Amino acid sequence: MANQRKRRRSSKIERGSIRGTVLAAGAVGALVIGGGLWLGGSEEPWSRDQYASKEDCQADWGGDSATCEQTGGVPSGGGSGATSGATSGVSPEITSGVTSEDSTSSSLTSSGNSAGHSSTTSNFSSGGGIRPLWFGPSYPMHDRDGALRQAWLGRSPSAGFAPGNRSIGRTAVSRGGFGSSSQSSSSHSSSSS
Amino acid sequence: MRREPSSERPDWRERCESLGFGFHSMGGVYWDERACWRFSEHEIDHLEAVTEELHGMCLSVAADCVTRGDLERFGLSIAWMERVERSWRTHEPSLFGRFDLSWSGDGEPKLLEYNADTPTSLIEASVVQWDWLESVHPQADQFNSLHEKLIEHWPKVVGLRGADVHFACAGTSEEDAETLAYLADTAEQAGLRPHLLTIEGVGWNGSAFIGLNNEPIERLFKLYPWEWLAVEAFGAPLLRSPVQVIEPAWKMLLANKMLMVALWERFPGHKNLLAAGTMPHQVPGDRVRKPLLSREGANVSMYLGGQVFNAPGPYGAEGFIYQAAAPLPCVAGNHAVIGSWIVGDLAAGIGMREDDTPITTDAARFVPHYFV
Repeated sequence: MANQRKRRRSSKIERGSIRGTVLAAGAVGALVIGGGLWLGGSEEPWSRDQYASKEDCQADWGGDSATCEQTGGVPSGGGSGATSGATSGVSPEITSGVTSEDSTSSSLTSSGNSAGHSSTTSNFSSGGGIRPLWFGPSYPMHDRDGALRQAWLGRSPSAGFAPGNRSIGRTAVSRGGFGSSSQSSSSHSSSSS
Repeated sequence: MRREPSSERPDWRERCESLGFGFHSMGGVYWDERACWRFSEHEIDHLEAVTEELHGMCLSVAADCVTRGDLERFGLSIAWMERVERSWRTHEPSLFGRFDLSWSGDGEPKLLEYNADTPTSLIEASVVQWDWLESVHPQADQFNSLHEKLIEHWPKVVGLRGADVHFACAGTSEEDAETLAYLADTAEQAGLRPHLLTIEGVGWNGSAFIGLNNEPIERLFKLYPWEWLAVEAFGAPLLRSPVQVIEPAWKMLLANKMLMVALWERFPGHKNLLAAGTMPHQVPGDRVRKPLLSREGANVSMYLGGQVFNAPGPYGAEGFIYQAAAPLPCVAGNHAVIGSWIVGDLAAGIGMREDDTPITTDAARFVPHYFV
């Protein structure tokens, strides 16, 4: 019954401080909220190194247990070379044995629109079975050395670590992988309903 | 229920904007307080009950479709069928949705469609029409507990007080951005930590989706259609990512117009449903043809008494359904649809939109309501 249900508010609505409008700013766009500007993406590309083992990753980046991140289960196996991540429609490629200077960046393929950006995925596949892949921290693509120096600040090489180049690949930190449908749906300004 | 003329408040624009509702005049007139809709308490009771019943029926259909593996007709690829199934079987929580109903107060409300994935007209239904009520009909009541229910329900969706939630929408729509900001506001008032960005600004670092400071995104509220996410460049990693997405992937079933067919098959002859099928002959007489993924009336065709009404748009390649026509009540050339909200499992209020045509499009105007 109506009288047993709350319909009318007992107190005035209190809006918080968050307000929003949108500025179109190229493909990425910017959201202006409450007078502050949230840019939709960074101008400078970022990267992460990929490692076959946690030990290699920690050896490069200083050994902090929080520095290196393991991905979920990934296919792997005997031989070397690039294979596919299969079921998801992603076609990741990573070349075994490359150095961090041999930046690897493969395309995500999908069945429809694409923003035209590229990125590697976390799958590391070279035959069969499952083996983990480790990621180091993100860093500006053109300043890996600076990022390594920063990671090693305050650490003693005598602890057994030394900055190195043990990575087996590099993945770009990319943006713009969502949003293309909105750009192409020009007849409707809103993507909602 | 009846439509009444009403006087505009001299400062309505300023009041709207002070509430964070800046798109009040998009397309010329959007917020329209030159009229309002008056309901009886009995009518509101009925809308509330019908909304919750429809919600339950939709969940039942989703369960049936997943259990029987009946997902292909929703246009999903095998990979996304699996994603939807996983989303359903793991009980990924939903925040809200909006049913569009045709009703004049006589007979039964009829479900036209369910905006289950990216419903809008939210801030105007929740905040702005309440402000109007307090100014214009302070002694009356309004079917509107959206604000409180959103705040109450957020913790159940996220499950962790103080958790970070990223909020994203397309960076091209003022309407979406302000709706998103309002939702982020309710999340903040619920004790969560919202982070706003454009959907274009969501990053991928090879193992996780990331925010603007390269921080991992663990929970993403997206005011952006699932079917768009699925086919875009980051769609493939989204299949495997553990990120919690709000609304959940299983809402793809309910946001698809094929739901209308599945509902009719599951509950044939139900008083609040319209006959629906995938072939025109299944729906004799006046009927409406709707693209599976259409939004805001785009590419909808209505066949009424020998007349045909068409709304333009970019949809249709994905296929159509046919649904019996239930013409909207029309007063002085204004065709009014009732948007009835569900938050969690509870009916939470209504918003009235009026269009100049029998098809409710993105040119519809929002008109406030009250009940006595």
